[in-house]
Amino acid sequence: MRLANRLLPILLVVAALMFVRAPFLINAAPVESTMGVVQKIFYFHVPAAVSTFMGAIVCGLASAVFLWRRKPVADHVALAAAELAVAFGIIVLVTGPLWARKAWGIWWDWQDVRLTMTLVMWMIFVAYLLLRRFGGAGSNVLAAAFGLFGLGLVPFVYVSVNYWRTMHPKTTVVPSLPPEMLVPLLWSILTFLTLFVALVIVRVRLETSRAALEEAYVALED
Amino acid sequence: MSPLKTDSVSYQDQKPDFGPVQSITTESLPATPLVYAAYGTVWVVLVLYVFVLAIKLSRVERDLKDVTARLAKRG
Repeated sequence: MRLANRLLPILLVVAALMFVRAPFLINAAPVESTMGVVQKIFYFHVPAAVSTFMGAIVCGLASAVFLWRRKPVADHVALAAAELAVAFGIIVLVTGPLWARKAWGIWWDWQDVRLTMTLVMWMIFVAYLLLRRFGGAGSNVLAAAFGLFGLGLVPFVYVSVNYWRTMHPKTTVVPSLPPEMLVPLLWSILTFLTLFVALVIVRVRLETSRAALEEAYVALED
Repeated sequence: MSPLKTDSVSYQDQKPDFGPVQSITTESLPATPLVYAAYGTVWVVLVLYVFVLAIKLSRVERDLKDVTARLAKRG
């Protein structure tokens, strides 16, 4: 944790600089032939989705470690990752329909398995946070089970576009991108992930401080 | 309950049935506002989250410092 705290200012500065550079790269990327300018949303919709997946994966793995070893730090990491999965999930669920409205002519399609399952996954992490907030004593154990469910959904959401063909582009879109479109996308993904790591460190620090504060209050009352 | 009556001619009076259009018009939706709205969403969500996190962290660390100092004073 000490190393993470030492790395934090560097990560925040790097993420900020990358965020400043990203719009210039996105602007310089060629306009897509079928969808036109609205396809530019892709450069922050996909990185936000990758970050949401990362939040779900980290939360699920940390929850598994917490259930197995009952280490508080694993619980703190799980909570931090769940919160970030929800935050980045909001970006995915808002930017997606804005893109879809122009590209597909509709805001949302309930028949689209990727869309619906992403919403379900996001709601699982919202439920996780609600459980942590209002569940009372022992809710962290129950919430950890939610985290595992969320993790289980990640591969399903990811491959859903390949098995249930709807309007959503397949997973083969990214590897087949020309370099002038791939570079801005990878830059944006790296930017979002750098910020993700920095925010996880800050959030874990907050939770660790909260736990220490509770202990200090108890010691003060004794 | 009787339907609301107005002086103007209703839509049903004008077009009792569905019918074909005389000339096809395509709906044109500008893309730029959608791109800006999406980009704005990214910034609003992230800045708001970072702001709330920073406030909570500073508050908790200040309280922790205060309580630790009180504990140290008490011995």
